[in-house]
Amino acid sequence: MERIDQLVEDYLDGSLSESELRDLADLMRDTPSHRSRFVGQAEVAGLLATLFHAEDADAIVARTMVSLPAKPGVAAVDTTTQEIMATLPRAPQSNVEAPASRWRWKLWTLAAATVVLAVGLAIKFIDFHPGQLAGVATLRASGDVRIVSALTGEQRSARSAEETLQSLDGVELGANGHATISFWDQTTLELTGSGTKLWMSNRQNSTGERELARTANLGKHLVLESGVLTVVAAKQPANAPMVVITPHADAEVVGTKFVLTVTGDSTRLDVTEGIVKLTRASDSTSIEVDAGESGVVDGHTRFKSFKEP
Amino acid sequence: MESTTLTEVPDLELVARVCKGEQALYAELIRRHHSRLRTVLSFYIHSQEELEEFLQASFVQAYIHLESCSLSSGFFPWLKGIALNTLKMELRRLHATRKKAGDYVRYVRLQRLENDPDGAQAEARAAALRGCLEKLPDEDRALLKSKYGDNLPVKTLAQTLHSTEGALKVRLLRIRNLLRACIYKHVALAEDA
Repeated sequence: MERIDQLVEDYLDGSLSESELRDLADLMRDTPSHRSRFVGQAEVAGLLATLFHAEDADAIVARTMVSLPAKPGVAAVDTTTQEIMATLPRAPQSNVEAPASRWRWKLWTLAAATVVLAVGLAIKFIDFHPGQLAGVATLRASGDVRIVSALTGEQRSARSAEETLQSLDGVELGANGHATISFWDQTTLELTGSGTKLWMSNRQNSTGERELARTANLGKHLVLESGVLTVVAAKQPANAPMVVITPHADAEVVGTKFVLTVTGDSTRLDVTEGIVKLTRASDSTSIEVDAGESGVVDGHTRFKSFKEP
Repeated sequence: MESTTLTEVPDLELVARVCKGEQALYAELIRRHHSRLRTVLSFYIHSQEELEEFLQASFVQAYIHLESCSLSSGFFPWLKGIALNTLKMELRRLHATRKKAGDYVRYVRLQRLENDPDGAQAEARAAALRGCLEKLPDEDRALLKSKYGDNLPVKTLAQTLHSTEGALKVRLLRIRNLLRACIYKHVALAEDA
């Protein structure tokens, strides 16, 4: 059995160590045929898992129904609340099929109890604000600014009036575009420069070291694909830092002012107030960048905070 | 009685009634389509936990955007579009973070979306897989059921079957390779036809 096949088998089995995962990634980066072998095996394994999966329709129905907002078209419940809900006990599953009306009554009772409990937990344990339920953030735009929904693929020009941004919306600046995004906690983001692209991505996953670190957090997560982003962050809850992800680094915010500039192969951080933890994506090494200092991730500059002369 | 009647209501009528405020009817849409959507998602996502998360998120996002549902093509294609767009967003995020090994491996898997943006291959190959499984010897099918149905790790399976982990891994690889070849052949034949 070749090394690549061994690693793919262990990956599919869920028994791959961190160092083996790096080996697998390195082998695939180097050789296209290794990528094909991995994808081919993973596809068949995925389809087999679904084919043999013992389906539990009641469970998926119950979990989904309690997560729905009051009616279609209403702003999504903030993912923070969804994360909390996801930690709550799931609907009990009965082996006996109950009459639909009785089942529905039970579901609604459970849903109501869950929502009350979730809101209670949110208020008690995290720095929760009812404003979070109104959507992810509000946008004010001028010039050529487009809002892209990653979910529906719909694109539209931003109006000059205030608009609500949802999780997984993207904001893209064209010529003369300028946008200000405000969160319920007074954190504001300023996007400048044609080609600047920011995604409101609150999704969190449970695979990979970097993802695990995020799972522990309930804060705002943004992806800056390119361009210039100025952040004025209110003090963030200790257990929920705001993280701005770029292709080269993560900037973790506690409560501060800073500018992130992303070009083709580099991310530069300039901190005006407070402290920002900057983590290099390639090796997860972190530095703290203080007020008045800068940090650069570009593959050749030394990864260390510095002051401009 | 009501549930029997409900199963006969067309998707688009259910969508219209949910939009008018009968939220509980959305449960029927989930029941009808979760299995098919799971099949599509399983083509791109390895972790069952993550798959469940995406499945649920897709139904929630579809509900939120239900009023913009394009009724001309039907509910499922529209729902599938929502789910695949969620995955494309994840692909975009992973593109930015793929220097990390774990992110890169997931990125490679999701790159499939670039060649199959509407997820057509997933359903065609799942259908072919059912036929291909029938051609396997009983003991190979039983092994796959233990591995993927009961979700047993190779280590546990090896102990149960009095085999070595290495031998079992080689056997699983061989069976999947056979299935893969069979699936490609079936799909190619179907396309020719």
